[in-house]
Amino acid sequence: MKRLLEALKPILRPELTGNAESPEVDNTAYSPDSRVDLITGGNDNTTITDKVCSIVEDKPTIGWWGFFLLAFSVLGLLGIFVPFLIFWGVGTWGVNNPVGWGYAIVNFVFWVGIGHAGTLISAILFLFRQKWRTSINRAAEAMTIFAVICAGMFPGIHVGRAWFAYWMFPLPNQMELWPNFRSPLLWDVFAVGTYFTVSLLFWYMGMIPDLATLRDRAKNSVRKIAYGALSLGWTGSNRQWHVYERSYLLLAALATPLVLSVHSVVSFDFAVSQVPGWHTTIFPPYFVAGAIFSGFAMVLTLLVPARQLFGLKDVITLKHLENMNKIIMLTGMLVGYAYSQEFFMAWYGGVKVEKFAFINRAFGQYAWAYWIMVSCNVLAPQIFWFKKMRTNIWVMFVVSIFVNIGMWFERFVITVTSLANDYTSSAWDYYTPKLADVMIMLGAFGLFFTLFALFCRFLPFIAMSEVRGVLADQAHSREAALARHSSEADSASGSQGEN
Amino acid sequence: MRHGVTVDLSTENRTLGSLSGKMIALGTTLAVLGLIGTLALGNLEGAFGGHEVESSAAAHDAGSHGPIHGFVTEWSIWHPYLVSACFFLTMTLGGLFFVLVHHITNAGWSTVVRRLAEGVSRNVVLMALIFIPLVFPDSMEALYKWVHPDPGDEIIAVKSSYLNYNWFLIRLAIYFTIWITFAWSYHRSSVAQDRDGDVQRSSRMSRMSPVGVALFAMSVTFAGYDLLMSLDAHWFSTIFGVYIFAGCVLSFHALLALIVVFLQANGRLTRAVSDEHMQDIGKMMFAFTVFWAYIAFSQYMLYWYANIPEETIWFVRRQSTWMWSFWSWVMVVGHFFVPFLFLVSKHIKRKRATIALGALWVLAMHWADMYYLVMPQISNGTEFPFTMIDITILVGMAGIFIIGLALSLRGHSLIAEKDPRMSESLAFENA
Repeated sequence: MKRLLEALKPILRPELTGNAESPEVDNTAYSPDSRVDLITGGNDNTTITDKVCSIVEDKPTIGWWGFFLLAFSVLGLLGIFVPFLIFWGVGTWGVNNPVGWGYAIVNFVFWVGIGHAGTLISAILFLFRQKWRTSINRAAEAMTIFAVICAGMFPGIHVGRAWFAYWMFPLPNQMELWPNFRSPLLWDVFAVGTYFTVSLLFWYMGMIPDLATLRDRAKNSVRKIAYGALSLGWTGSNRQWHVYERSYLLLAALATPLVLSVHSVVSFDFAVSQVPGWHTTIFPPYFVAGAIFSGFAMVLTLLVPARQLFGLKDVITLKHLENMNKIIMLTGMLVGYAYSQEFFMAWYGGVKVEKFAFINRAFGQYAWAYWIMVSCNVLAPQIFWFKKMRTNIWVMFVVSIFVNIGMWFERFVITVTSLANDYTSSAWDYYTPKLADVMIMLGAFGLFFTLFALFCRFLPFIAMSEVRGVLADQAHSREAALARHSSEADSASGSQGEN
Repeated sequence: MRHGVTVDLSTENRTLGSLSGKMIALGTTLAVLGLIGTLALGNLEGAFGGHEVESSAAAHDAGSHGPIHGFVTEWSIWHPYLVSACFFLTMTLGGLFFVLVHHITNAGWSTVVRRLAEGVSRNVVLMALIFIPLVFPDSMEALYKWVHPDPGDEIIAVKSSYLNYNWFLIRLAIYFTIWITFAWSYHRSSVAQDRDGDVQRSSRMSRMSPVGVALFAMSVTFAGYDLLMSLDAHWFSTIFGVYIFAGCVLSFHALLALIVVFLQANGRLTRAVSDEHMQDIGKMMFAFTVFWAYIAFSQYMLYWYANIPEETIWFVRRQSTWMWSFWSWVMVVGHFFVPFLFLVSKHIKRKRATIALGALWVLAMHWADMYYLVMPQISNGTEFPFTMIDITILVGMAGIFIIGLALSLRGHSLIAEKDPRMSESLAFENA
């Protein structure tokens, strides 16, 4: 057994890089009179740069290949089942007459939601001057882009006749055929399109200085040309930094309303209708809170293993993870607040169908899904009240998985329960997904993880240039603390002398 | 960061001192003026007599052949009273939220103004006193139809286990207990730190703040439902609590800006609170102006779009006459577009005169918002119920609020003297 473990060690602990294993440092101790070090392990600019660049520069290891190939094979499911769907039509799905919106919309909303953490971290936390965002923003933004790609795929294939998907865009045409501008489904096209564009720009712009670092370190001409072209002639001059930081601030300010708007518009898909359980005014902020909740959970799911594999425990420290857990706890409770207000108002409003819709959710034929949702989204994050739990790697990883599951089920509960049992009881039906539904859902995960694996391999995983800024601040405050300490010691010895 | 730059506070005037006397004098003047005005005008309007007869006549009408409303259609003095009471209550609660959020986030920049927020939040005791006249059976009956619903009103009957007089009183007592407990304990702990400099106090306050925020969220939501939404007991909206919350935070930041400008004009905290802090307060006003608009838009758009009569009626009442339509447009333009455009610029937020102007505007709009929530049900929105009593009550309560603020801020420093984050806050700069 022991020998087997020895033999498996390089696979179980597949360090992707030559980075030495960094020890887990507990930098979460709260102190009301100082700020903790966000980067531990005595790192300086050089070691940070080496660590991050080596992920891209060293040969990929067996661990990366394993992850990539697994994700890529799951992605293959899309290659099989999407053509199958297009060829045979949506009859290959489990959607039936009352439940016309099944997995496709559930997956769409789920992935758009996942895609909220990146922009929240890079834009809103930037405006709130949260320095800890610097270690996680790059990966989170990459994840955002990939999640939005996954999300964007679903409306494309669920229109039924996928070759007419371009009708979603208001293109001038001879048939005078226009999309319905009064439909929130069309607003989605604009909201998600704008979000994708701005997130991509934001992500790319933030990466330019780091791409230039990779270019400068490149040892072969392919890398030199590729990173050279991508870094747009960045030299790091004073003037360039000035323009860069101004535009970063502007993009952050522009991206901030998008964090709110995208999922609000997605919530309109449901809330503008008269379907019981969908038509309720709290939907926009409730969806936004849920999106941030699920997005942060996905960031944790990805970063907890990644920091281990890439030897980045001193860059993405326990403090970073703890902060993310706090946000998960907060947004989890916001989601819980929304559940409770919906339930209360369904009773208070005195509208019979509305009341039925909610009782049916909790105790009807989909009660199992409802209680999975409540326990994963509301109860599971409560464990983070305890500091021991929110700084425990295993606990947070498990909770993050729970939240991912719970948020998928939230969309399932909203979509399916309300449609399956609405006003006309003679038209009720039970929704059961078919093989194609499940396979396309899995395939989307494959797409997501494949893209993420490629990102780890070819682009700077950490915003090096921003982490360098944090290091400078850290050094500065340490100096100031030392100075303060020595002056206090001086005055103490002085007073002793007088005695 | 202004590394190494330290603000010398030894020569800074950090107490209210003689200013408290001036504030109390001003407050008393306003309160007396407000009271006299209200009494005089109230007599002219017949607000203190005849109400019983009218309301019973109206009830008789409704019972026999009139439409069944979930709201009272008769004007009473308690309507403008509720408008202004909610105006000041929301502001005060915004102060409590500011303090709790400061601790939950371990914030640095806001340390220099936190004592002022604590002072404002302590006014919640005063607000409890102001709400006492409202909870007598007569005034409740004049405001809320559900106290004595029309016979045959099935909608109110459904929720009578929630909307009834006793349970309402108990809930109100619970809300105020939560608010007073947190406001006083955080203020007391903060002032105690001025004396002993114990950093453990900061950690304790930080540890308790998540509990405070959770209780705050639930209590503000249900207080919003009880005090304002149940004015029309038939109407409901799940976002209403968030709408009230947005108003709380927005109006508090406006008030905070005004307090700082007032204190600095009188030589207090002239160096401790810098342009940088003003800019941040302005940013929060800007952010919550947008947030309020987002919430208000969500509520309006979703009800307008689905077009279900029992939901749209609330808005129909607010836009079927030209005066209420105009008021609705004031909400859109004055509550959102004007402050949005005004507060974009950094220079506006940093200059005392301009930020004060913006803050006054925001407060006026917040009052207009409370007016918009309370008044349109009078005569079912067919008449515009504005009287000078609306203003005299506002003036009177403002006087009382200022007296409370003076009492709350005097007797100790205007800044949290020995807060461990004070030096960070003093050196704060918008990068």
